[in-house]
Amino acid sequence: MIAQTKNAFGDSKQALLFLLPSLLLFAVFTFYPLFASIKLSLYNTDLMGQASTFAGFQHYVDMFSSPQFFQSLLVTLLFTLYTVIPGILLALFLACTVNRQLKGIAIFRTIFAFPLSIAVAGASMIFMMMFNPSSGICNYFLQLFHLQAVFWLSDPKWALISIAIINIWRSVGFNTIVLLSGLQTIPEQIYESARIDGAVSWRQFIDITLPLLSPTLFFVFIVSVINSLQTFGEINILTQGGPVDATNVIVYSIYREAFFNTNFSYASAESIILFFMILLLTLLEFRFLEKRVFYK
Amino acid sequence: MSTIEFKQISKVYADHTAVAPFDLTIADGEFLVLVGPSGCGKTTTLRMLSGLEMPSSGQIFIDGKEITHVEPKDRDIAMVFQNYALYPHMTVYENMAYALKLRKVDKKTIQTTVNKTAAMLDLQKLLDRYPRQLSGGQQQRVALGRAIVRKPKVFLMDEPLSNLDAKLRVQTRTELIQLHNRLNATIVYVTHDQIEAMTMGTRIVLMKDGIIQQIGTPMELYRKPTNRFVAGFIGMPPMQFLSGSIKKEADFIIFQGENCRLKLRGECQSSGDVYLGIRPENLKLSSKNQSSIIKGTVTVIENIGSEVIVHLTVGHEQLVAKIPAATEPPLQGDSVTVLPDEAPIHIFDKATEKTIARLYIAP
Repeated sequence: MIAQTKNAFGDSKQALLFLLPSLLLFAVFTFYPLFASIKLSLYNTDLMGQASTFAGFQHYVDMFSSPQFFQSLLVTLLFTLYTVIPGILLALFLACTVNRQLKGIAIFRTIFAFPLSIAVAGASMIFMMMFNPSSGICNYFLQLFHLQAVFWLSDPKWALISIAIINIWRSVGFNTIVLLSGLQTIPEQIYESARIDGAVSWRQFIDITLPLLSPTLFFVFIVSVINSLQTFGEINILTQGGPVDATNVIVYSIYREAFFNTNFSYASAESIILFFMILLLTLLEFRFLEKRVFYK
Repeated sequence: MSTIEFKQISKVYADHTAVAPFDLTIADGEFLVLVGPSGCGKTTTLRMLSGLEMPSSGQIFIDGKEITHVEPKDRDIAMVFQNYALYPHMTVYENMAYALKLRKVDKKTIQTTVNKTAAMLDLQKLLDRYPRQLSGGQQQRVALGRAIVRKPKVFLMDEPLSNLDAKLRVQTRTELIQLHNRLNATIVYVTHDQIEAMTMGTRIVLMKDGIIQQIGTPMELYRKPTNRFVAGFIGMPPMQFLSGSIKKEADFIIFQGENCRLKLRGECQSSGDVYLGIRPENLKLSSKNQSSIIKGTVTVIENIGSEVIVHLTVGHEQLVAKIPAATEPPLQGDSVTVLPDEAPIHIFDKATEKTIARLYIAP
């Protein structure tokens, strides 16, 4: 009994030793900044971003009474909507298309990984050229179909959609690969059984593919939401939150408050809100996966 | 209530013939077993009947109606897969109801049908469970139930017992025979296990390398194998072979092999090099007959209670004899003489391995 306890203790000590490097990294780069942000959000700060006087929840009160914050929240929500749903649908379509035993399919699977390897700055530059109102390829195609030219990045109606397109393009490869791996875990015989039972292709998709893919779909959904909530690079490079705050998502607003307006405490308060939004989603994901991941 | 007809059906893949063209008619209510070693084309044949695989040539008819290129769902068949292929996200009830739901059967009827089938298979208490919560045997019964609720014209079964442990397999075998009797259904059953084929089939189709070797009732295959492969496949332990030559001598035929000489009677036109086939259960330890003799040395004794299996070396060849346990078994290393009893002895042509005669030991 004693030996066992000692052994267990020894085991956990050993485990801790292995965990130490990552715990250390987390402590320095995640936990410390998190608590520092919480503290900052409760203080007034000086020009150097150091906490000066205690402000309590004043910054949160300011934030929730500011129409600009709600505008940012709305833009963030819209952006999430524009990226996540079409992004997943597109990835699902591609994954289903590629999930066949065809010759040369491996080439397509490799191509899907390409956007993953292009830096956000590079991708932004490519799309900046494509979105150029006079020389860009997007408007060229619109003209071919006798449609009016669009000011992709400078029209407040289009700017958020344009950024969303870039975001979708950047994430669709990853999503497709994840969904494809999910599709491949569904045994072929289940489809054969469904075919004999009388399910046509779309019934098989609704009754077999979707439910069995749901854990993977949910994972992709959560990752996409978090990813879109954190989008910054494209916005910083292409629109700087404009035109007229049309692309001023929360992350960009935090950046602007902190580094342009030197309002570090307000920015911290905003980032804490963003943190809780993402935390909630992550908890939801774990809950869902716990329930449904053990098919087999 | 259905007949099935294959007409010159074949399946050819890019580099090899999986199933060579064949004709086969399956009568209504028959329990037809496709049996053979792996890669013999039995599963491909079943899958062509199911519509999951398209034949390269030929036609398939169910009840006289051609279904060669008809979708699986429109063939009115049900299939039990080797790994059951249950829908993991549906309960037992939903698994069994799914096909009916797709056929737009009303809810009440679905409920009665599923419940009735569940009662027949002793699944009532499991209807709310998911497949992952069931044992292998229970999953197998659900797979059967899913097929039965459909009331299909034909049941297709692809090695449905191979994932069960030995004891359960024997039990389920009996249950399947009873089920066949009760449903009076046409069943096409694929297996690599000759015991399953022998015990369950009303008729057996034995295949090898995509070619049908013999079609017949279990006893026909056992008693009158058309070639050496069939002879060696059916029976447990399988038929034993000795090589040698035959020649006519007066009214008798003499088989001469290494350490072996048999005086046989019966009709045989040919002479020359042959294989001689005897079933282990037709060999007995003896030394009485003066004109015939097989001399061997005992290598292994397997006593399984009801009988003793004696492994012998005869010259350079192996021979297995199954003798009653009541007989005092020889010891390892003993030199013994064995003789065939009155059962037929099969003679196969050495080159073609086809059966050329069935002879009997001369007194």
